[in-house]
Order: sequence, then C-alpha cells, then structure tokens
Amino acid sequence: MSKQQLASGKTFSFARFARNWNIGLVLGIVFLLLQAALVIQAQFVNTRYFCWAPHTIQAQYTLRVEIDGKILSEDDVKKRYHLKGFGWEAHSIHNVFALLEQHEETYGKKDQARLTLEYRVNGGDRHTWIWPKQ
Amino acid sequence: MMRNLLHAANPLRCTDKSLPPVLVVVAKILALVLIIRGDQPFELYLPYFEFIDSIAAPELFHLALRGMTYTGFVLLFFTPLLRSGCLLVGAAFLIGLLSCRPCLSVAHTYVAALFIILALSSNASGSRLLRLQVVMLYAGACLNKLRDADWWNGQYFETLMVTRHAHELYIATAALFPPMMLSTVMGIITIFVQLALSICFLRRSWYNTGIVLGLTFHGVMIILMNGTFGPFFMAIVISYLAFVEWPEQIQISSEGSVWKQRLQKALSAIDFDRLYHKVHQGGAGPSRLQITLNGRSYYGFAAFQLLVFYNPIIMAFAAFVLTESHFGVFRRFIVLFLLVFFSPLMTRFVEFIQTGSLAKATK
Repeated sequence: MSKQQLASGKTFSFARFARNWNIGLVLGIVFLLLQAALVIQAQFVNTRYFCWAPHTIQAQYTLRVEIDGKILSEDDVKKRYHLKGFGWEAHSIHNVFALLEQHEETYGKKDQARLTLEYRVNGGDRHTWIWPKQ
Repeated sequence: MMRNLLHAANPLRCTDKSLPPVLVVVAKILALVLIIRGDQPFELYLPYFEFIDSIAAPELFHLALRGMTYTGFVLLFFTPLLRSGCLLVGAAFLIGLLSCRPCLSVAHTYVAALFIILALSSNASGSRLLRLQVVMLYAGACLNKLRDADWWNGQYFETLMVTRHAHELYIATAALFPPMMLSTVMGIITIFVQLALSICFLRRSWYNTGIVLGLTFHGVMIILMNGTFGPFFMAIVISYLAFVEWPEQIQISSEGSVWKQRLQKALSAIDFDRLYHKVHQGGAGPSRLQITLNGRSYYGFAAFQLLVFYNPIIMAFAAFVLTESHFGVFRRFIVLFLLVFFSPLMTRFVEFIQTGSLAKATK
C-alpha cells in the first residue's frame, strides 16, 4: 500500500470506517437485525422467546407433580419451577413444556418426578402433556 | 469543566453532550419508572444457556446484576456518562432475562432493549434507532398474531376477557351483539392497529397519526384492564417521544394577563435546560397565550397543551402518578384525563368555547 493511497483515503481503514459510520449506529442496527431474526425464527417453531409476542395466547393449565408417589402442593410446585401450579401462560404453552423439561433434565433430574400438565389454549380442547415422555 | 460536572449532576437536567435532549428525557423517565416500581433484574434460575449457571452462585450473580443496575442509575442521573448508565441498566436487565427461563417478560425485554438502544444512540444518529425499535416491536407483535386463527375468529379475546378476567363491562357489551362478534372484531382491530402502527412509524409524515393511534390503543387497554402490564405501558408511551420534534427553545409571550405571567414564572422555575425563552412585547401583548416553537406559533389552549407536554418535569410527574401503585385505582381515570386533555378535539373544543369559532390555533 503506497503512502499516496493512504493519504487519499481510498483504501479500507477500520478506524476510518468506525469514525465515519458511527459504530454505535452499526451496533444498534445489528441489535435490531438480531431481533428481526428472532421474530422470523418464531414463525417456524412452537416456542416464543424474545420475539415480541406479548399476550399472543391464553393457555389455561394445571400442573400435577408426583415425586416418590407424593403429590406436590401448589406452594411446592411454585418453589420447584418458579411457576404456578394452576394458572395462565400468555406466550406459548410450549414455553411451559420447555421449562419443565429443562428443569427435569437439570436441577430436578435426581428426583425422577412424574409430571402431568393439563391445558387448553384459547379456550379450545383440553390436552395433556406428560413427563417423562412416553 | 466544573460547571459542566455540576450541570450533569443535576438529575432534572435534560441536556447531554452525547445524546439529543429527547433521548435524555426518554432515558431518565424510563429509569424513574423502574425505580418507582422497584424493578430489578431477574434472579438466576434455569438460564437459557447452561454456562450462565456456572458463572457464579445465584446470590452473587444477582448481587452483581443489581450492582450494575444501581451504578447505571447513578451514572444516568448524576454524571455526564449517561449512555454508559443506559448500557449498564439495559445489559443487567437483559442478562437477568437470559438467566431465568420462567421469568420471560416482554415488558422487561422491551425496557432492556430501550436502554441498549439509547446507549448505542448518539447526537449523529438521533432518534433513528429508537424509532426502529418501536417499529420492530409492533411488526413482531403483529406478525405473531397474523398467522394465528384464534385472533381472527375471536377465540383469543373471548378467553382473555370472558374466561380469564370475567370483565363485566366487556361481557355486558358483548351480549348486545351476536355471539363472538365483539371478540372477533377486537382481535381483528388489534392486528390491524399493530400493523398500522408499524407502517405509520416508518414514515415521517405519518408519525402524528401513529402517535394518536398508539396512545388511543394503549390508553383503551389501560382503561379496560386498569393494569400497566408491568413497566410496558410507560415504556411504550415514553418511546413515542422518538417521533416528536423536540424544540430547542420555546418562546413565550410574557405580556398580558397575570395568569400568563405566573405560568411563565412557574415554568421558568423548573426550567433547568433553559428551554423557555421569554419574549417581551410592546403594549398589552396578545390577549391569548402565545408560544413559538419549531418555527410555528400556537395560541390559547393549544399553546398551553404544548407547554405542559414539552416539560420533562411534568412528564416525570405524570409517569410517577401512572406508575406508583397507590394511584392504581385511579389509573384508568388519569389515563382517560390525559387522553382527553391532549386530544386535538379538545383543542378545537376549548378554542370554540373561548372564541366562538373553529379557527385553527396555529400560524
């Protein structure tokens, strides 16, 4: 690279790029593009995470947890999963499945819990989700 | 140097070297809302990424996030490092969200995103990033509903308003129409309003339409549900400021009636950014209140509305009243009052009462 080229500024320089293009703006656009990617990705999966889906569904559910033949109380369920034993999910019922699965495969693995989740999405038919998967 | 530091140490100032005043207002009111609500980053529990679990013990992890948040607030309110403060608060909330799968909250995600966007904004980029963030929110919300049949056939709204909330007014209104009709209409309206908002906020000449539509949409939601959806309502309303042309200076005619002079005095007392500029006029001055901002003159009630609107202290007070839980029972009435007070129809109505004609209150 000649001195003349450098002086004329026609060669690529990251410093000049950062100065002229405002690095904050570039990072901001990257941040927004990441959000757009998550919104698009959400259209092809059942879960809804970080994709601007506030109150997209109303799923009513009841969770029954059995460990060593004993049914957990509602308080114990709340403590164990940070989730109410009976309530509403407003993003996707698959978020609840994912949460319970992750818990039973990590924090609660040694308990060998048996879970039954009864739910209705937007007042539709009643369904049951069971753990461990059969 | 010392003077600049003292100026920056005033938490009520809304000018900053790194950001346009309107973004400073957004950052400070948003932070104020979080402080009033006592919102903190979520605690570590079932993170989305396993490695987060191995970083530190949950108590220590949460302490670090809280430390980041409080440091961020101090930087934001009391130092010239406002953007660094925004970055700390935004990052702390985002890390908190990523560290807790059961804590998923669109409201807190939006707050975190706003702070990060503010941290990445500058005088050069202005409000562009914040505008795109608002568009992203509405476009995402709309797209997530668009392909869901329950939003088109009324099932969603029926479950929300009747089964979940047993909303008496809604049930009574729905009874006046054929079954599911109101819920179907509400679902379709929501989709189209969110679509319209994402389009309106892309075009400068449609910003005002977007603001009126958005405030009405969210205002009606608050009036119906009497809840703020966590920090969401305040966060979305305050981000609309990105579509407002914030004046560099407001000229107020200081002559005329006693109440005008008192108003001017009161505004000057809380004017830490020297936004208001008194204009001396010969003689008795105009009979109605007159202000000039962004090259346009406004008279009477329209001028008064704008004086109230472009005042960060009054804005912060409104945010406090709408956020503070003690005012919860009155929230829907406060929102209704604000919607009516700032509506263009109110301007025309008051002008009509005062002058007996529907002449425009601008020049």
